[in-house]
Amino acid sequence: MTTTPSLLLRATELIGHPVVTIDAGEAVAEVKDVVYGTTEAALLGFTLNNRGFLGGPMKQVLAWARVAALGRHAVMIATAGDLDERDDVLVEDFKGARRRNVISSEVITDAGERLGEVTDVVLLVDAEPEVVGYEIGGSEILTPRKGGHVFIPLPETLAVSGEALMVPAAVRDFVSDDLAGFGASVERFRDHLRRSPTEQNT
Amino acid sequence: MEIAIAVAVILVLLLVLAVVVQRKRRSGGVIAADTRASGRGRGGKGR
Repeated sequence: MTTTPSLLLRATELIGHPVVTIDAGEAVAEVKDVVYGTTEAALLGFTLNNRGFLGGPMKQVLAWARVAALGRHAVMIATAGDLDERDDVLVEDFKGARRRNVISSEVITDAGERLGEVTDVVLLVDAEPEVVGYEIGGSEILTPRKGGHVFIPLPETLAVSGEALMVPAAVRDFVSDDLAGFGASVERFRDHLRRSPTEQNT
Repeated sequence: MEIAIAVAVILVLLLVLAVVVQRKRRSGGVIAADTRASGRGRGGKGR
């Protein structure tokens, strides 16, 4: 696995990225959906489109275990055969899992406060990439400026159910308005939860 | 003449419809999969 160390990026930046084989240097697919699991907020992999505007969704998926490298401009795999694993773990997760697109979902705290709508999901990409935050907009509490967006950190286990995404109320103290400084906010928030485990009830 | 214009308009409308449908088919998102429902934990690890 080769990645830029601890790269923070928005999940939607990956949509449309080419999937390129290392052995032939050939773009064999494009990223359609970015899929993560809620149990440990881990990136599970990607669903795929065929290349080109006329290419529709592919039956094959790309599990994270098959990704050789993930950068800002492409997803690298060893060979085209890595897309053909119908029984890989991402497919298994998809078969039994309830799944939903979280973009535009509402975020509420466990204190019953509406924070806003998800406009993007922040990934921390390293050897085992995970979802570490949401970018949210439409929040009268966190972004009084109309059209403003902020980043809120997430605990290591997420709650996705019904229509809303639940986060601990403590996230309000760890909001960041730029992605560059967001990594530090995530670490401080998770340290805070470890010291006050009763707050991590989502 | 009128028939030719009508056919052209229908073709343009069909083309627009095809583009819209294809964009919808290709549109992606960020999917949260509740892996607890499938009894699985972490899905994959980098190598």
